[in-house]
Amino acid sequence: MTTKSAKIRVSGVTKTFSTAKGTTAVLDGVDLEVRDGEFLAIVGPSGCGKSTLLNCMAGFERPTAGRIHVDDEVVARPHPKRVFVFQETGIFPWFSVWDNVGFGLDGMPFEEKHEHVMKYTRLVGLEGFERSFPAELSGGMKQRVEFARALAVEPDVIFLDEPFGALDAFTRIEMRREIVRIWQETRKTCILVTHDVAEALELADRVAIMTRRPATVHSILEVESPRPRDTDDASLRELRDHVFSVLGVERRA
Amino acid sequence: MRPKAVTRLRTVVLGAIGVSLFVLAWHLATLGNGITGVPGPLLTWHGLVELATAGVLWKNIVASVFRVAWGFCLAVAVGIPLGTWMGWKANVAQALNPTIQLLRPISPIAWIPFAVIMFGGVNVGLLGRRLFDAADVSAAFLIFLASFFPIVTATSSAVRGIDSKYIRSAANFGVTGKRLFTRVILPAALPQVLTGLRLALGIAWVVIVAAEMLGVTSGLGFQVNDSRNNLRMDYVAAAMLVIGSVGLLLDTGMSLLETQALARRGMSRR
Repeated sequence: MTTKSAKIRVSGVTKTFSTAKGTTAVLDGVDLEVRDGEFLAIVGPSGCGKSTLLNCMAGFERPTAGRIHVDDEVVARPHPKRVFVFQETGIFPWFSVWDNVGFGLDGMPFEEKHEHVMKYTRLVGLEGFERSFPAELSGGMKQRVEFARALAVEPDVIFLDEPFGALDAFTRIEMRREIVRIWQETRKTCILVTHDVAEALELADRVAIMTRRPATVHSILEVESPRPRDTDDASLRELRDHVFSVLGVERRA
Repeated sequence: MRPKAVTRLRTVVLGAIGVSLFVLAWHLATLGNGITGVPGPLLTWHGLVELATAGVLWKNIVASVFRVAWGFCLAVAVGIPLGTWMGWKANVAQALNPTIQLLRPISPIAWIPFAVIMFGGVNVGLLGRRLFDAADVSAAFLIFLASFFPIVTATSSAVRGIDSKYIRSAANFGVTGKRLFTRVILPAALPQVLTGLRLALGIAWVVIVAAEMLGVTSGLGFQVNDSRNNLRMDYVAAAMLVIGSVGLLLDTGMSLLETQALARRGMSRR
């Protein structure tokens, strides 16, 4: 079932953690393929190990068993071609926006670096804030800085670990639109982990549904509605109800 | 008036009232005492003016600050790298921490006999000029001991406590080695390290006065001891007042440094 356009291939990944009470199996033989340039969302009950899976794909953690390939190479450690966007922004409070966005561009001549930084600062809509510090920015703006920092190294893959979890409801809606716009402009492979089913359906081409711990991939949904999507749309509501029933959350009519 | 100005004014006024009450209580408790008893505020003030006009006061302040500066800088130079190493490598911490925690509760004052034996004959010179007396070296050693433990402890716990997402971000962007240290680890640990430095300087200042009661012929601690031997309790109290003031000044300086360094991170108290 290996297709040529598979960017990331997760095969038989198992992850166990040892605790005081013995070993806990978090992932139990996960198989997943991520296509080049697609937006894939991974949803599942909280604590099911979806963040662990993402951490393994990014190379921060090693699977206990199984393999993860990116471009047919085994992932052993994190790499600037595959950038991770953290749950609560991982930008550095001691650097200005400019320094944060340029963090991964060390060794680049100043002129070129400046051009790069400005290009991506503009792309995320933060032009004019290059000299501000994170503490002077709102939550949504900090998240934009992190997107710019990730994009500035021109990666192939972006991992998003519940990137909107810490934002207020209004900013979250705004940032979802932004991420769709940025994805459509850059066409990076994006893998989003979220427990928000509506969010997954609004953003992704495909939604992988994970089971409870120890987790496997239950099924993968194709979302074909054109973007920008309205989550109140009948077809999306139907998909959402389907996901909920798979996750074992029955919705009252 | 703006509310902020009101708060500020209130802080100043209340502080002034507190100090006045203390001086009044001091005055009443020491009423009728001469310079060989516990002196009152007036006698102390006269003693302070005498010491200042004789020029010894300034010389002694400089001598004490100088000794603290050397010992403290040495402790920073050793403590921050060692603390960082301990915070970064768990096995280094496991190897060194028991020793450090065992030595830490020992008051530097207890080290005085050994300091005198170890450094009693050590005069540090440079190009034929004598830079330090043996007594200065032992005093600086005691200051080093006093400030080293808080610095190393604060630094190692600061580095160990760095949020893993910063370390992971650095790894993700391929930032390693020296650049990881200067661009991520040090700035991330800085707030807690600065608090440790401030604490250490406070302890160092308390210890210097005790250290100067032995062997040296200058410094505020020497002033206290020497004046006691001459039965000039007004000078003793004056020297104590100066010790307090310089200590307060050092602490204010450190706290300003902290605020300055952290101002743009949204961590300042302003």
